[in-house]
Formats: sequence, structure tokens, C-alpha cells
Amino acid sequence: MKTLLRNVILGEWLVGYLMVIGLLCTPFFQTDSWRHTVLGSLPAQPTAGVAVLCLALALGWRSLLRRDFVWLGPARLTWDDFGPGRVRTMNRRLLGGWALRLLVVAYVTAVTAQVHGWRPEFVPVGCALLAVTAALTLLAARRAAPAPVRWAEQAVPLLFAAAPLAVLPAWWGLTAAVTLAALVLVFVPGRSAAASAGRVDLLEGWNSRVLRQVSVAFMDVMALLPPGRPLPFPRSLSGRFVVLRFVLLGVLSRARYLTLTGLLALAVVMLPHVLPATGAVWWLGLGAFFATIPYAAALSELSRVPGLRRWLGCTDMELRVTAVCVLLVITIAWWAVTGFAFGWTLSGLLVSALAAAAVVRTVTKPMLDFDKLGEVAVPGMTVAPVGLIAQLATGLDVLVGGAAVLQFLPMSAITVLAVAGLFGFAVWRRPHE
Amino acid sequence: MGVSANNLGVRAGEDWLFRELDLAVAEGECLALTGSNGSGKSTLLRCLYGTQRPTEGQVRIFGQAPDERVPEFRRLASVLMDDSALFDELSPRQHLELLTRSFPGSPEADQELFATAGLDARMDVPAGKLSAGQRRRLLLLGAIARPHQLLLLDEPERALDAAGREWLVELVRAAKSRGAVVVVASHHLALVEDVADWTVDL
Repeated sequence: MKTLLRNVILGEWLVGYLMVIGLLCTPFFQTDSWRHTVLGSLPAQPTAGVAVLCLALALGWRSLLRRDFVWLGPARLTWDDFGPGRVRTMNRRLLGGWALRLLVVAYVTAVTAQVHGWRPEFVPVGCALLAVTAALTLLAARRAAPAPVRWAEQAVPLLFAAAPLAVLPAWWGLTAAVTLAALVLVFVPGRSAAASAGRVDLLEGWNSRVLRQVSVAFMDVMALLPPGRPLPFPRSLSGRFVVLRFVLLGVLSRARYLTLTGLLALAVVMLPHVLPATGAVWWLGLGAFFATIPYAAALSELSRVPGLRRWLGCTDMELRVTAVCVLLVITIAWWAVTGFAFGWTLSGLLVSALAAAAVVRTVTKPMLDFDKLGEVAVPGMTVAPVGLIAQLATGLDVLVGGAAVLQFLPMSAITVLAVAGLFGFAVWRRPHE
Repeated sequence: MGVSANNLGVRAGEDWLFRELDLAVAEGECLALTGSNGSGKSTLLRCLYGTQRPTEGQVRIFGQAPDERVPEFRRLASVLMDDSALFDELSPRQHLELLTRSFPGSPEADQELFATAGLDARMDVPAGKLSAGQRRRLLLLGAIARPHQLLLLDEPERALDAAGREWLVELVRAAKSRGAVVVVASHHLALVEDVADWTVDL
């Protein structure tokens, strides 16, 4: 115990913690340097703080309301589950997760306010909204929710994320509504999520957690893509164009991610006000990529599991071309919706289309090969695993390349051809061939 | 010759799983692989499917080297291996339609086909909700429902009840009668005795 304490208090951990804390504090002590980096020569946006607060509250709500705290390992359930301890454990976990999210929301809001400044009339409403939303999030997450309520819960973050588009009185209205909802949850009896979870739920939560941990440990991001849910269309694969039907079914069976897509769209509309030095084409492209990738998870499953791929007799090329056609519909819809904020520009259309190809390239890449680390000595560093970084960046590389072309070259036939070339490369060339 | 192998050997570490193995299985014949756990049955099946390179020797499947990465070879060989899997969100009907409509020349996936596997009452239930035995039956249906010249089965009797094992025997017999080469690794002696023309005990 003494050795452990010595390691924690005096050892390398302390140095690491101090460095991280120091870095996190720099916006408050080197504000001018941060302003220069974030804003360049552009003026500050005093409403950026509230925009970030609302977005962070939306993301906090979404992540806590997944109720990832509801899990217990099979060993615990087998050998140490004879008292009331399981509910206490999960409630403690919930409180810890909630407090951490609250801290992060407060921090990112404070940093944004420090860099951009903060209009005085937003301070009371910002503080009130933070307090009541934090309370409502905790109260909602600790209750078990039947399926219809869960659907409604998914839509709540959209309300928060859209709030910055409204005028000041509407924010007070939102604060009042959140307060009312919190009061309802306090006084209306409900079942605790921790207490009502059965063994199957607990093990399911534990399995998901292990999958996430392993995926993060091995940087296997594709394993985190969402599984499909059954749909009530028994004849959906009957008829011609079965590959197209399969890809469409893969998209529809993940329709629950539509709220996340909406949330991303609102974030993309808002973020250029927070980080104005970054061009709109980057936000549009990256937003389209991350909004679309959950819908391509079925393609990723086929690439990762040979036993699933054997159910389809088509060639890989046919599959990729079909997938990119379907995903193009999503990314062009993305361009059309975000166009209300950015305008319907050709560069926006091109980068959104390129995002579809980048998604296909990402989800069809093989699993990470740790034999190909490609370690390269870098001056000032020890070694950089360039090969591993290249594998991780496969997919996003074409999007970043295309966005850079659109950002830095004037729009011309050559620019369009360059983007079209990247599109073709992403679809036609199998990653790591 | 459907399946032939000359002087085939696979080494695992310092030991050889099998060595100097010669095979010659003609169309319409069944080769059964038997042996204790870890004796190399699945490894030999992987060599025949081209997902594992043998340490020495060579394999020919209908005159070509097996390579699962080549679409033409995948069309020729149908398999039930350790890595066979189901889409949890799709029903048996959707699985079979996906298969038969994407492989040219496949017969229609009709009610009768599901009835033979005992899955007709569960045709529209998502695979994630099926029992282990029903999932196995669906995987077996998937292996035989499309045209193939080679059928590789790795312990197909796993999770099947008595009726399921009888159906499995019928299924292998039917594949043989259609002229396919069947290679089956099994611990189920009744199956081996019923369907095998050749047996290799590893």
C-alpha cells in the first residue's frame, strides 16, 4: 500500500497529471495565444459560450442516457451477488459518470467563454440551464425507461443543440421546461434502472462494455459501429437487386441513429462560430463522414467477418459501388440540410459526396495489422508508428485530402477532377491492396 | 478428380499435425475426417478451403489451387466452418433470400426448404432470437442452398438434436447425389458410418 501511494503521489503519474492539468489551464493564463490560434484575425463570438454549453449538455445527456452504468460481470453475479450491493454499485457508477460529464461540460463552456468572451445577459440563463439540465439528466438516467420513453429521450438532445439558434427569451423557456420535467421526475414514482435490471440486462451491459474496452485497447474503431436491429419487413430481400436491398436494409436497421445525425448537423452548423478560423468545408466533410458511418456498419461487418461475407455471392466491387450509391443519398441529404446554414455551395456538395466514398473506404479496410507498425525515428521523439497511423487514417485520408484541395485551391475543373479522382480511388481501390 | 492432395503436411510449432497425407476424392464421394480434439481436422479443412497454407505439399480442388479470396473459388465451394456466422437482425427467410438471389443459379428459397430443416415455423424470427440448434440448422441450410461442387463441413452435428442429426445425414447424401464432393470433419460416428466413402483418422 505504501509503495502504491508513493508511486501515485510522487511517481510518474503525478508528473503526468500535473502536465495534463497544466495544459487544461492554459486557456485561462495564455488566453491571447489561444485566441490567436482559434480565431486568427476574425472577431470573437460572444454567443459561442452558450452554443458550446447547449451542445455539451446535449452530448452529456445522450451519453448518460445510454445507461452504460447498468452492468455487472458474470464472476460478480456468480460469486458475490447475495445482498443489495449490486444496486449500490451501479448507482455509485451513475453518480461518478454524471459528475465527470458535468465537469467536462462546465470546463468546455468556461474555456469557450474565456476565449470568445461572454455577454453578461447570458450568464444567469447559462448557469440556470446547466444546473437544471444536470439535475434532469441525473434523475432521468437513474430511472428505467420503457421503449417509447427511450425514443423520446433520444430526441431531447436535439432540443438542447437547437437552442442556440433561438433568441434569449426562448432559452429561459427551455430552462423552465427542463425544471418542470425535473420536478415531474422527482414527484412521479418510477422504477430505478439499476434495481429493475435483470441478469440478462446486466450481462448484456457487461458484454458491451468489454467490447468497447477491447476495441479501444486495440484501436479497433470499426468494432464500435452499431449493430442492426430487426425490422418488420420479412420480404425485404425478396426480389431483384438483392445487394442494393441488403445495403438499404443495413441503413434502415440503424435508423435509431437519426437523432445523432441531427445532433451532428446542429453541431456542424454551430461549430464554425466557435472555431471560425477553420473553413466550412472541413466541418461539412467531417460532419458528413461521422453522420454517415453508423449506417455503413453492415458493410463493416461483412469486411470483418468472413462467415457473414459468405452469405453474399456478389463481388467486393459490386458491394462497394452499391454502398457508395446508397451512402451518397445520405451525404447529399446532409449537404441539402446543412446548406440552410452554409449555403448550397459546390465545394460543400463535393466534400459531402467525397465523405460517402471515404466511409466506404473506412469500413472496408482490413483489421489493424500490428505487424505493420512501420516505426520511424522522428527527431525530438522516440519512434512514431507511421504504419499504424496510416492504417488508422485509411478512409479519412481521402476526405482530408479532398477537403484540403477544396479549401486551398480555387474552384475550377481541375479542382473538381481532383476530388473526383479521390472519390474513384476510395471506391475502386481496396484499402491496403 | 474433385479434391486431391499430395504429400500434405502442416506443422504447429515443433510438432506436425499431419504429414505425408495424400487425398483423392471424386465427385459424388464423401471424405470424413475423424480424430481427437486438436488433431488437425479443422486445419485440414482450412487447407482445402484455401484459408491456410500447408507447410508442405499441395492441394487441388477441381484442378485449381484453393484460394478463398478468389470469387470463382468461393462460388465453387460451400462451407460450414468455425467462423460461419449469422446476421442477428435478419430472419432465416432473409438469410436464404440474400444467398439464393446473389448466387446465380440458386433454387428458390421456398417454404419446403425451411420445412426440411424444421425452421418453417421460425422463418421470420430474427436469427439473434433462435436457439443454438436452430442457428446451426440455418447455417447448414445456407451451406447447401446454393449451387456448389465442394461442400466442407466442420463438426456440423454440433448443437443438433437427434432429429437434426438425421436431417444432416440426409443433407450430406443429397449433396453427394448431386455430384458434390463432401469433406466432413466429425466426432459423430453414426454420421461418418452412414455417409463416408473414405475416412481419414488424424
